[in-house]
Amino acid sequence: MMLLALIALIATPLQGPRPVSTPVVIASKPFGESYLLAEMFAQLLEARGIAVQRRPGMGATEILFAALRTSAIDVYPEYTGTGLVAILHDTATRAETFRYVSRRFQELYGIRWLEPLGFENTYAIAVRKQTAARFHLSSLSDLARASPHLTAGLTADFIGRADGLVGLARVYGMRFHAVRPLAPALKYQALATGAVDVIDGYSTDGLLDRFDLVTLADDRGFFPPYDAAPIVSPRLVRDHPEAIAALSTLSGRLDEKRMRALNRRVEVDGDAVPVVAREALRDVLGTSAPTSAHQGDQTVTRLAALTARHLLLVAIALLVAISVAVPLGLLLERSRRAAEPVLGMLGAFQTIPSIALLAFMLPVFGVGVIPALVALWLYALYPIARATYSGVRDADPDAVDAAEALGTTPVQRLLWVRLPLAMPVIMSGVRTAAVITVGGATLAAFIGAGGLGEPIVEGLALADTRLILMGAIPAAVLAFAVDGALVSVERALRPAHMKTRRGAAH
Amino acid sequence: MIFLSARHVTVRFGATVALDSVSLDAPSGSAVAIVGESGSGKTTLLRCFNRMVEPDSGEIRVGETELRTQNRIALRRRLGYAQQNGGLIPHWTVSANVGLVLRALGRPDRPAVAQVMTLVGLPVETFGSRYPHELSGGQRQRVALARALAANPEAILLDEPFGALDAITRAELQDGFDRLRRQLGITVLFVTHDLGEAARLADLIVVLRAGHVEQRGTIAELRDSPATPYVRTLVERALAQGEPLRLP
Repeated sequence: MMLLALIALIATPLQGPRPVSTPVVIASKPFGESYLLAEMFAQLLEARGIAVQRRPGMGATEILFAALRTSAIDVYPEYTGTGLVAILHDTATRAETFRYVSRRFQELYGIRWLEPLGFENTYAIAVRKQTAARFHLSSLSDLARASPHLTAGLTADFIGRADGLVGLARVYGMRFHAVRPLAPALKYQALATGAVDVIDGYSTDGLLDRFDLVTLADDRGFFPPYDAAPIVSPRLVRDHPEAIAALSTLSGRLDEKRMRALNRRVEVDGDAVPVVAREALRDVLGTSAPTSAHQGDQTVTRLAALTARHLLLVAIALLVAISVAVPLGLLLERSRRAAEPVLGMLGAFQTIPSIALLAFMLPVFGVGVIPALVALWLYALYPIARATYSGVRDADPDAVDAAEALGTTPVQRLLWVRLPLAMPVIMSGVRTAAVITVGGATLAAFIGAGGLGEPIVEGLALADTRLILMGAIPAAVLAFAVDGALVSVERALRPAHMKTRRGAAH
Repeated sequence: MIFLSARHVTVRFGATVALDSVSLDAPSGSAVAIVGESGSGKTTLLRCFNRMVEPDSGEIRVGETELRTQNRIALRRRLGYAQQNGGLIPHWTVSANVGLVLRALGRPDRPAVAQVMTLVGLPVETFGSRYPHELSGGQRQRVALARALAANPEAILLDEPFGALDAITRAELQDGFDRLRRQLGITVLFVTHDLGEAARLADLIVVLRAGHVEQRGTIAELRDSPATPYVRTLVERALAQGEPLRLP
């Protein structure tokens, strides 16, 4: 019961329809501009006394869209072209994209597009200046001609999308010598150092200026317009007209030049997102959002909150795993023929990369805490079940046999002899599971479950090592601490004769 | 009066016949030894009496009870049991080990534990709170014996109880055991590979070989009129090892 209450406690902020009084949940995709816009939305609402909850870098398009649709989140910045292609699966390039997309979203999902912010962030296929000069490149048609001599470094998202490489190959006949999938944070570095020759940038990327790059014109009008706009959940439309009104004040106020400058401050100069957002709002709207607490204090508070949430995720996943895997191990020991197939199957889960497992679970469990817990739980099952099975199976056979021959019941043997003797082995399984879970829980941030993965995801998106370490170091420390705590538990559960005793006979 | 009896007991493990129509009688208050080498089926026969092994055919009785009519667990609590390596529960103290059957029965009884520990020569004050790994091999076997006796069983079954001990400890324990079982008047069925040990401790000996009874009788009968060449060899070998094969 307590466990269910705990799950409910941490799940509430992310599971759909919530009461009117709950804060407005603002999310973003994991890249600089999206962080910045979301933070601007948040400060805008806070300045009007509306409570907000931030979920920066919560996930890619599919995740945010799924969460918005169920009102698990309330608003995030989206781009018309992405809505058209990635969500509506409409490949046609359309005039009046915004009008079309916003109508379809309203009809199909009850999601509302607010008026565009005023800038477009389209794909900017970029090359080094020397490459452009050598191959005489100024448009995508030129690039297609030279493509067999060039290596492209593209984000995984772009490689798979109809408005990405697939479409480019179809419309322009792009045939790169090689295509390397790159993390968004690394692509500019990779291009500048010559590791690749072509990348997919965003037209508002602050880094385009920094690295002296040439962006190529989309001379056949392949890319749909990518006008940026806040899109809001059905709940917000219904319950918070004042929030909608506040967000609408940004419409048409951000042009491409300003956005690129702001992105540059975040991505190149390394200015803090809240600071840049506050100054941008002041410049654009003439408002001054209340200055928040001192940056250092904020970091410590945030870190404490993230660590607490991380620990809670780990604790719940681990406790549920123990309460399932230990009985399962005991059951398998009673029917040993089933043991290896069942344990083998559980073991197979270990070979699935966690990010892939999380992706598989998206359609079933959606986003947020529940899928994260399910994934962590699945990973924790195997070491505990395996340890319980072999620990109980191998517990002192002579003692077990004698206890049976003397008339103990199976339950008595289990509780008196086998489980206590198996305890050190079971605990080593639990410790293995705990360390795996602490590590795995950092990935929970990719599907919006929070925890120490949040600064890691954010840091990866902003190419900010300090942020990455802010998540990674506490996670590593936590793994040590949890393991250490479990050592004490193990010591307490160790069978009596294995505890060190003074004056033992030998 | 016969207390433990087996009639035409056959046990198969897959294709192997472990016991082939074996019969055995243990009169009330006697000590009966099942003698044989590894694979003779002697442990199998012993374990038929507490239903640790189920015969494929034949009939086994303990007192008036035909075994198949009695619940296994209740039956085992009526019979003491000890095995070669003691089989003590390693994380339980000596007292707890001795009290196992009483605890399983739901009536823990400290005085009874203390009493039976005195009987085997391990006063509870000195040994009660020790753990099995803090005892010598001989002491562990005494604890196993005390555990078998603690709940006042109707008979005890012993599987090579002195098998893993050095010669001096073994002789000492054998003497102690012999006195104790006569004092208690309890029926004992025990398994040994050592005819000398059987001669010292048993009123009756059953020689098993490959699942068959070669001969049953007193040591004097085995010695003076061996029924088969195998029994004769067994007797000669024991004599050669300097065993007196004394008359009971």
